[in-house]
Amino acid sequence: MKFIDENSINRLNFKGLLSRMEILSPYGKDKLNNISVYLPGQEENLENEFNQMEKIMNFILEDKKSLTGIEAILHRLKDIKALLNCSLEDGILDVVDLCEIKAQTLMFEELNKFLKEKNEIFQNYILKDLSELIELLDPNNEKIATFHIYEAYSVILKEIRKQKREVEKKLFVEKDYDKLKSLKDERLSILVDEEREEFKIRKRLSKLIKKFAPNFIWNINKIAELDLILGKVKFSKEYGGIKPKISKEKKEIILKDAINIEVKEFLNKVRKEYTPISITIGIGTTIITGANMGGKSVALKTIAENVLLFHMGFFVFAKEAKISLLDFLFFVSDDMQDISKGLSTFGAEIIKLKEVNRYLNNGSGLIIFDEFARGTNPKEGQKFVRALAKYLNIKDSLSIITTHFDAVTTKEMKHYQVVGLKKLNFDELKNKILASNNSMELIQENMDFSLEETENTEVPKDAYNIAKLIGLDDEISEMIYDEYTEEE
Amino acid sequence: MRSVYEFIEKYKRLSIIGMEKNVGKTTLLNKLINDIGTKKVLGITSIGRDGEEVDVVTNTDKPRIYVRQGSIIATGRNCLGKCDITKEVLYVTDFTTPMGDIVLLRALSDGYVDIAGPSYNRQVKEVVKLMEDFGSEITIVDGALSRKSTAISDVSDATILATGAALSLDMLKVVEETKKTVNFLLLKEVPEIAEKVKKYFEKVKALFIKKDKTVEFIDINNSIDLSNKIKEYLSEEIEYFCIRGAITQKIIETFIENRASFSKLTLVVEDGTKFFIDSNLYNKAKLCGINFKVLNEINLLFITCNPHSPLGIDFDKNEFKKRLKEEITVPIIDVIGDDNEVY
Repeated sequence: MKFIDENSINRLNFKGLLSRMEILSPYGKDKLNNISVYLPGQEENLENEFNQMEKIMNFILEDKKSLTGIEAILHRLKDIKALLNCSLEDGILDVVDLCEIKAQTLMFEELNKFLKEKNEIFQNYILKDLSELIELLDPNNEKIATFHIYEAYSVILKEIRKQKREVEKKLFVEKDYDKLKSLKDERLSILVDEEREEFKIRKRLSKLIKKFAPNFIWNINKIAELDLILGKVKFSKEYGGIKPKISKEKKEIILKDAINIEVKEFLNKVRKEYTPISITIGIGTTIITGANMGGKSVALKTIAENVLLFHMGFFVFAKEAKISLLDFLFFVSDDMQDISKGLSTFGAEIIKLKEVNRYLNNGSGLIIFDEFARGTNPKEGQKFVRALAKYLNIKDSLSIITTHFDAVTTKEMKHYQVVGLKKLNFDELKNKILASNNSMELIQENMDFSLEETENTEVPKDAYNIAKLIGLDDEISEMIYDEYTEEE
Repeated sequence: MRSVYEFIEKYKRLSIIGMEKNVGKTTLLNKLINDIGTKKVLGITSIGRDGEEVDVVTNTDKPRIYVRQGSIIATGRNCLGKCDITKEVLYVTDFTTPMGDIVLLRALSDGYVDIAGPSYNRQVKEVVKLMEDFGSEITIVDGALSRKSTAISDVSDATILATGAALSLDMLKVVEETKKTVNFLLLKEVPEIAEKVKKYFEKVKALFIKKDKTVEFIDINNSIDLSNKIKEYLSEEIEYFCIRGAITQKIIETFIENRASFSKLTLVVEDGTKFFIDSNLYNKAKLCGINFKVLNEINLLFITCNPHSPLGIDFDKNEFKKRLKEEITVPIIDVIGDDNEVY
């Protein structure tokens, strides 16, 4: 059972969100790409992760210099896992490989110094000591990141190289063609000896490195974790994340003033204010209704995104949050990807519903339906949604359904409404719109996007008002109005 | 044999370019290595890869580069097998080339090396800087005239040109071609707009500056589109027409065909290696009121001439030198001949 499917991730543009993170090493990037989620039962681990992040957050705020030192090293690391695997498989490393291993081992040592200095913060990331490996690759104890097959490795090599230098010296001053030729031949035979001896040494070194490879790879994993957690903390710092509480007693999602980073940034760019949302969701069905253009879909994305971040061990973008670990997350909305496979919106939704059903009996998750059955005829659609709401209400999961249909909510369910234009003086707004030529923008500006819990089971009827505000023709407006009165 | 050290000792970054394959560029390089000797720590790299041990076209043995102990080279990882120096690996870059990632080596012994450096200007510059960080006091970049994507002037502060009989069996033609190339290489800078245009060139391929100093960008990606577009923009108002990348026959022909639209303008190009036009067209363009200028002037130190052709037909070396000298103001040296007097 997967926690979340690829489609849901794409719908949330979650990868786009994570690409805003600053991960410095290829190891950390790899870790992020294969990030796993915390599942029910791992509350303790998640708590530890959050506490660790809190500590690092304080460290970042206080000690920028040490952070820069650590980051500079992470930034220089290359992915050389393949070389270690090569030595584990008894492959023979060449001189460039050996140089890369040596350079990285020295970087490990440098990084470890920083980590040990801040032991109280980074105790979980201290690397294993590889000083023996450094000794092996730095026989002259120079502590520089360059490498050659040192003469210290073999007396024979030392002798060969001495001969080589002598011949080369002669070669350089010799003018006589025949003598030159014989010197060149002599050099060639020394070269063969040198290469053979170097090969023997490389073979020996590769074998010795194999012993260190497990610890080296262990260090790589530690660094990946370190890079990722630093990335998560910096991400949280940049966009205003907070440490969420983990709800262990019961399954719930409580968000106070939660935000969706992308939407917020977009609105800030066009100088609009963003309305954070607050919501409490428990086991059973929660219905969200509200005006058109009221931001219901954004609210759903905000909830899903933050719940997903929480499960991946990220801080949550809200003022306050209390969330419990869940088994799965479904986000179903009319999905272009499924439609492109030849399914209608409705067809795609029903297929998803079948899948959700399988998950429902295997745990407790978050299920989100954005205007389920909107693609089918309203009479039947309403029946579908009512049934779905009732069905999900008795299951062990947390479900959210947005809808325009009436009489879906029952007394047993929670009902949230987008405040919308409700609290506004309608006539005043209408006059303003008459005076301006951008009605859409004025409506957006006056729309209250916040969610409000209500006892009311009716759906708000804002469509007519909004249509009027947008400036629908009088003739057709009247006809619509007649329809309304006829019904009453 | 006369040392060329006096020509180069002032410079930190040298580039060498050849008019053609087999004009003795490697011989020149070996000569430079020899003359620098142990006086300075030498660094060597190239722009891309420059040929094989045996010339595949003419099947002739090509000379190889032989460096002294202590030299620093930057080459593709896959070339290491052909370097028989005792190698110290200094640094492994992440610049990928067809010959593997670029690696910096120090020669712990004398020996032959096979050099295939990075292909992009930015990377060549970076590699040169790295070699200097590791102690190179004079760095030679082996370039080629035909590499249209790189600007020699950008990666070096002085240049040596190699020419020779390999260019053509007709000595007069070799002299003529060499003269034309030298004329381009010696083109003067336009300091008044150079900095500004260099900035623009990071984003656009072509632009023009009017007499009232207003700048207009031309939205194209390649020189074929460019030659079609030029005529739409040519007018009396234009003072500078600036083009990034190669200047082809077609581009100059377009200017000439539309000479009625302008009486005088200055064509500004990155540097003198960007011209791929023959001398006739060049002269004609000048007569049409086109003034040629560059953003980066090339400091051409001297020219080497190789009277030997891989096809087996050699020029009379004295006559060859004499004729070159008559046409070209830059010093000319025969690095192969026993007495390489400076003419």
